[in-house]
Amino acid sequence: MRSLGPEVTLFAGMATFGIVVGSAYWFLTYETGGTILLSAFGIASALAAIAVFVGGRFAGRRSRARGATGHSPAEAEPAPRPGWAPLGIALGLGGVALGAAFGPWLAIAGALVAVRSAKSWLDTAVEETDEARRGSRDEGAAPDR
Amino acid sequence: MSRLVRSAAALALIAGVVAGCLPAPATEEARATSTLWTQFVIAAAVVGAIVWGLITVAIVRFRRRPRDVGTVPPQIADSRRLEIAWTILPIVTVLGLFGLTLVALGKVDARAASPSVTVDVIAYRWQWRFDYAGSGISVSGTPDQPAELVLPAGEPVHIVLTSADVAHSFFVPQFLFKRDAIPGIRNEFDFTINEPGTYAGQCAEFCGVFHDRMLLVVRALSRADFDTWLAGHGSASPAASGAP
Amino acid sequence: MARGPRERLPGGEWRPVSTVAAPVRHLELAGITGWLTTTDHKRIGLLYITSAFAFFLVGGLLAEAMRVELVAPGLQFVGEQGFDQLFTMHGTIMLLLFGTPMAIGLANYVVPLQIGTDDMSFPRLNALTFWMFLVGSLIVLSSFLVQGGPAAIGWTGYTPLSDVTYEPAVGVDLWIVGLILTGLSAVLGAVNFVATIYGRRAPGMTLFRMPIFTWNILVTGLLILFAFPPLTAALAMLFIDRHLGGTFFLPALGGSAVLWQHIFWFFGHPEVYILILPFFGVITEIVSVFSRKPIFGYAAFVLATIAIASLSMSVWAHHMFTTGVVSNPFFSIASFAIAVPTGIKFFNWIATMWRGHLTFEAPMLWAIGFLYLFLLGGITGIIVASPPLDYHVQDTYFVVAHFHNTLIGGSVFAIFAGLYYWFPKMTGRRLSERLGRIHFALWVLGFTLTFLPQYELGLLGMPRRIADYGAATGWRDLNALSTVGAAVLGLGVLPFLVAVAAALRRPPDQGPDPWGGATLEWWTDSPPPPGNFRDLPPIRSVRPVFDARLDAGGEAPS
Repeated sequence: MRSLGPEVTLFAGMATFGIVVGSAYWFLTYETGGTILLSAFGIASALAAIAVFVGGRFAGRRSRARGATGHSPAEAEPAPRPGWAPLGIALGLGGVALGAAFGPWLAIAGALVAVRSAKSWLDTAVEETDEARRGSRDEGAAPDR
Repeated sequence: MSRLVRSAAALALIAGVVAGCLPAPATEEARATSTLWTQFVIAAAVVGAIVWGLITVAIVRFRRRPRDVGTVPPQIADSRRLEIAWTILPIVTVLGLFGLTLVALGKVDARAASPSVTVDVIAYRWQWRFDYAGSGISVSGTPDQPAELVLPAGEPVHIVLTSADVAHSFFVPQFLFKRDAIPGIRNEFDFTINEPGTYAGQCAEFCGVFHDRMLLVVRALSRADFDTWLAGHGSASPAASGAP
Repeated sequence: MARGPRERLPGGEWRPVSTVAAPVRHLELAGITGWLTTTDHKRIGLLYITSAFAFFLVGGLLAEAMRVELVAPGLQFVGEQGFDQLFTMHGTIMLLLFGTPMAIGLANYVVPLQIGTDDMSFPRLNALTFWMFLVGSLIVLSSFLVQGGPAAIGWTGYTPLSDVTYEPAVGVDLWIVGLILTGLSAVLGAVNFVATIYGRRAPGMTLFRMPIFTWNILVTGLLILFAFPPLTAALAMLFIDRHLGGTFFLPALGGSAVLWQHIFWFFGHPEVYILILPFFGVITEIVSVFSRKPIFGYAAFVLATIAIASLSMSVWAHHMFTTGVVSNPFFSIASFAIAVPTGIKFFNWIATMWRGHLTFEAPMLWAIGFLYLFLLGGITGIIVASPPLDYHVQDTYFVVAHFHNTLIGGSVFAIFAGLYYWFPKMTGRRLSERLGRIHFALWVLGFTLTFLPQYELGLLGMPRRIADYGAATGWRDLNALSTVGAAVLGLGVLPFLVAVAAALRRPPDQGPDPWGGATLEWWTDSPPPPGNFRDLPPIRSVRPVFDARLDAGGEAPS
């Protein structure tokens, strides 16, 4: 199980920077906007550090339960099939954006397209995960190439 | 050694040319800016000479020779001493430049104890209005006849700057200075014009389709002439009416 | 000793590396459908790169039109409104529709290869980000077709000018919503890069054995995560002000005009580091490979990149020195501080070349051009970081020259370096060296002629964003020179386009490693097969392919 030390350190470092500089900035300038921006950057970074730390712990427990395979857990996931969903969602969101400029009917049409494509994405993803689970049950824990 | 001398001379020449590229400073504050500029150009020339010099040496001296084909040079990948040296050197340089900056900034942003005239400068699309505090005089301009800001030379002048609509910027190149005119903000600054004369200026913050025509002129007069202007306002300078 | 890839166990003995167990890649669909439905990072990378380059050409044409207008006093070409629209769209296109996506495109193609994996962590999300970027960009560009034409507010969109009171045309709204889409695309892409680099590295590749380009993409990804959301928020707030009764930025109604500047530049300054850090990485790798030496000061490069990124979050108001409402000393010292890690990088680049065996194929030519030109951009950056000097040069052509110096002499030169470097990997063909040299020479000449006069124009007091200037200013000759330079830059793109077309006509003939590279992308075929790698060399350092080459027979790269 790969240690997540450096990753957490990176986020934690940026968090420290943002919070320290944000605080210094407040006491040097009493300017609200910049203080909020800097502190938000620091806090967001801190949240990311915590998330990566907790996530790493959780993934560590999961992979120890599965038994170390020598492959990173990511390798066992299925590669997605080609599909139209990403293009569909993008076009739909484009319609929503244009609707903001031109009129709500365009936004509604765009939203419908985006939602339809998102549903297709979800369905495909569920299908692929089921396939992968069935496949790994049949062949054993790791592909033997 | 002579190559070194020649390169140093060439650099000094270039630095001199570049340093001379600034308009001659027309205010006391501009002198501080001009001095700072020269200091920075010298620092830039030194840094440039070192780094450009090293790059040039590297690409000339370490070209691959035919006898090198098929071999690798010594694979040196780090040096703690060098890293420390070229971390400390930039830090020292930067701190020095910042120190010089603070000195100049203090002079440029300094407030006069008792300015001899205060003018409210209001920027609007796309001209300027100058209201002379305490005298009821208001001057503005048209695109064909830019507003003239008449001021006494050799005395500190106080400006209160704002905008009536969008962001503009009051810029006089020969003062080596500009300050933004932002609606909702009063920006105040002082300067002392060295000599009588005419100094062109224009808006330096994009403000719409006629931004490029938003010109102004600063006319500095001797104290006597300025008093004359104040008294006989309307005869010595164009005074268009109808500012917003 | 057995041949073939192997790694060393903690006890000291060697064992063969298990071949990469790549999941079966679904075959791409045929033809255009294949490109529209792809989830493969290599195809998505190529889509990003070609779209970004197309937008680069569009943005370049807009610049040529501006330079024609400015060649002499008088409004002789596009007029004031037209000129204002040109500089707005030129800046928007170059920074947001060319520079950022080009970095993302190169990263998309190269990073999974460099870390030895078969794709990004979220391939379908990857495709989504490209299509969102393309749709958003087309929405921004569609403003050329609507009544009133494109926005005329500067790429910086300062308020209250960009409010509906002063700029009511729908072109501004298209600019806003298009950029919201491209901004969201960038954020999602950054999530993908950070996740991929954290989670999909091949066994043996610790963070500190990653290629520098990948490191720089990781840091750029983090910058995007922190910088783009404020832009999106500011754009949304502007839209609310314009059409939904908001008053965020309207002082007459209780808002703050300068608040826009704070939020915009909190995005805008990290954005310029997003535009340069990936390309610092490209330069580092090319300089190392073409000097036949390891990267000098790898750890220093990594720490310097992290320092630059962190510091870049705290300098935004150096764009606001002349507003009179920010602490100029605070932002000045923070801006000066960025010079230190940048200087460290310069010295390490030189040290990488020092005592190497340098050759000057096209990638290295562009990298060396970068070193000469970006230094000047950095030096002038120090100048504008000093408030008294900035009081004079802010909003003049000095600043225009400075940022074009760093963006062209820096980013664009490095982009061309990277394109010439990785073109063989992407297509299996090499670009013509002769055309590459002509391209390079024209661009060095063109850059110098266009922008060095602009430094002087700024010092003399010529403001930026003006469609015209008077004959009495004396600015005509320098402007004319600059326009000639712009023509040279425009012509200089042609050899590149010809070279690409000619190369693609030839059959692929390049092996895995035409340059003598060191990082994993040079281990696999050119172009890589589906799944990228059939096997991997042992990864025990930053230079696994170099190490494998030495292991295989003590042979040095040629």
